[in-house]
Amino acid sequence: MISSTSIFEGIILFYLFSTVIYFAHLAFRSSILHKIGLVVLSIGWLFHSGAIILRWVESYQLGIGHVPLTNFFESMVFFSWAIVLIYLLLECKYGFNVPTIGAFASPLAFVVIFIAVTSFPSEIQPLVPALQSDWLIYHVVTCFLAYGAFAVAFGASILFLVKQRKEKKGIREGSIMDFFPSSDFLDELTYKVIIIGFLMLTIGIITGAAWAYYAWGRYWGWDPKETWSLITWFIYAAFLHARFTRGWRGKKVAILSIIGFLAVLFTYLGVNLVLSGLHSYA
Amino acid sequence: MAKENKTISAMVLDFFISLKLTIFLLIFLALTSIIGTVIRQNADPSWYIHQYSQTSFRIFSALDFLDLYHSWWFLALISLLSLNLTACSIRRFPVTWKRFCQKKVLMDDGLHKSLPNKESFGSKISPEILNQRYCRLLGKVFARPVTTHSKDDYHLFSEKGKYSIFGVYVVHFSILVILAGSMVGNFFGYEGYMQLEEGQTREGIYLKNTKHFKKLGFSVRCDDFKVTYYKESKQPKDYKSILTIIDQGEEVLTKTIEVNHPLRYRGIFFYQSNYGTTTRNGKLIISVTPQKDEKKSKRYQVGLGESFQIEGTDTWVKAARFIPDFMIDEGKVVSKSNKLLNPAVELVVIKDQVIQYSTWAFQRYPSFHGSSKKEFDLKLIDFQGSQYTGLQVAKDPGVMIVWAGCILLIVGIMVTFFLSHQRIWLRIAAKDKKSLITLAGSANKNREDFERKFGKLANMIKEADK
Repeated sequence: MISSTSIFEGIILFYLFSTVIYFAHLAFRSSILHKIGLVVLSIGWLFHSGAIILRWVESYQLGIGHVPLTNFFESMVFFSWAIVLIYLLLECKYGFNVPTIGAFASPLAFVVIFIAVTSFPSEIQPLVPALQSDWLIYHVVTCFLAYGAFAVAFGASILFLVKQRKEKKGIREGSIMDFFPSSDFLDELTYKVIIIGFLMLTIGIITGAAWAYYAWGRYWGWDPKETWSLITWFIYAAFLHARFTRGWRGKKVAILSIIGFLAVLFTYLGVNLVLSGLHSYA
Repeated sequence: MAKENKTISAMVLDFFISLKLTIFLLIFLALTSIIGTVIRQNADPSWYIHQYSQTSFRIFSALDFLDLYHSWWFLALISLLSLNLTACSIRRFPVTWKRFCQKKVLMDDGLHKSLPNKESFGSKISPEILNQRYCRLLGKVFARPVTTHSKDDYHLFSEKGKYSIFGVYVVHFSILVILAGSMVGNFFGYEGYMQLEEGQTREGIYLKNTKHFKKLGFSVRCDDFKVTYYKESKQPKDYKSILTIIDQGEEVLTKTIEVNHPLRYRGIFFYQSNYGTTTRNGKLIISVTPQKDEKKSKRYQVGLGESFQIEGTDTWVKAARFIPDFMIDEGKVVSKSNKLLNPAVELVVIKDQVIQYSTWAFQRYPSFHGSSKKEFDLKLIDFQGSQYTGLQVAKDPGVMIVWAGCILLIVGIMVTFFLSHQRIWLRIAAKDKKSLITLAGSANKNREDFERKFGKLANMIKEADK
């Protein structure tokens, strides 16, 4: 039987193809390319979902039996999955009319799963006792949905900054910039995705606290991972408040969204690679 | 003078109420929190001096960087944020309340002009019939309308998600609840550690911060401790302790605990934290093999610190020192952990009361011996010490308050960001036995979604006159 690991390797190709098609779509501005890109990405994502479930089954066959969200490899695979999920949800919501976001989400998902497969060991490992808890699944799934949403918001914010700068200078009709969504739309989209991410991050931090309470006897201990998740929460809370402030709308808010995503990356990767703490698994 | 005072106090008040302060505090809290993740918290002073320098240590401790999250200035920042969100909420509340109480059931021209979504068309059907139809339709697809009949016109008003305008207050209040809960835990709770050997009973714990001994008011006994490993590996699958609570001389409760499954008694939680082997009262099994005659190998049992005589000789062996997890750190023998991962014993060979030599014997590496050219080959066969279980003990009476706050926070965020107060006005004006219908609406949030919804509703209204 085909193993989940080899499917993950195949998904790299799917996401690479969809990325190329999305870029071609931007270059040639043909809506058929957008549709093809969307189909390739969606098929890849379905395989991706299936492979995650398959890996879950495989872990039971090995007698270890745990949800595939317990180390760097598995979490990055899930992160990539969440990015595509958020993008596909956006496409559904906006009537399949946000290809430029796809031109950002697709390569991001590609890079993340590529790094996962090429840089981290893919063996299914037994769980240390601290991770044997039902809270694991709620905590990790909500956190990574948040990360996925923030990643998409990050993309939209960068597009916003580029577009806004060009809008001020005046956009030549028919140029690639003219083809980008308007900065107002991007601003609104960033906000929409960030409120989803913010809700998920809040639930993720709370389920993490509940888990810590049952495993270690305290719900909050200022462990570096906990602290960084709170830092991220502060930044996005600032973002949400800044949107109501006149002088902050637009550019400054977009910069906050970008800083927020950098904090997400540090919470996810930096804390484990640079700092030390209880979250040594991933 | 009085006027000037007023402006100053007004300025101070404005500062506390401003959204700019909120943003500033959130960003400032994020930035300062980083420091505590970069500089290790609550370590020994010598560690900082070794890692940084004497001067840096002084600067860090003066700025409270070594226990940053409990420093007065960090707590002051959090208090200021609480004050700010309370003040902002109080200031905004009257406006929200007014919106909540206000019920504009009639759409006059002024209101019509101010609404963002509108649509109007004529119909041949009489206003009475249309009124009935629209009432039913709105009730089905939106919300039950209030009908007002004035002169020849019918006015229909329906609204949805009215309570959602309070979402933001729920969010702000929940933060205060969480902070209050954490304060209750700080003042009335404690955290500590207890180490129990199998069969041992203790009645208190060592507190985490002060290291003081604290009596619990009852005692805890460890009946058994077990570690199971994953197949063919050294990685523990789980470790379990069977604990019995003895309250006033009576055994009241026995429970097996493991990581993620604590025991709770009288509001105090006992968490499986770690385990190890104590060397106290440990028994060693040593095999002695004479170099000349390997068949004459014999095993001896000896207590730690005790000696035994090798049969048929005048040579004694003393088990001087035992290390559960042997390693050499900067030239010194130390134990890497309290677990039996690399057990080693230092054996001293004595003849005629004179120390001949001493050597290390390793249970995991029996062929490694520094005494190859010696008279006897000494091996460590086994070490039997009693295992101990390490328990994290905590009492936190504020935790239920914190969970309540967390649930409020989640609900509040969902209501604030994903629900909106949507209002629809419908006016049916009579005009020469025909009807002129005007439909308008607004939402306080997620306006594009409402626009789409409004468009669909307008189509349905138009369809309904056929």
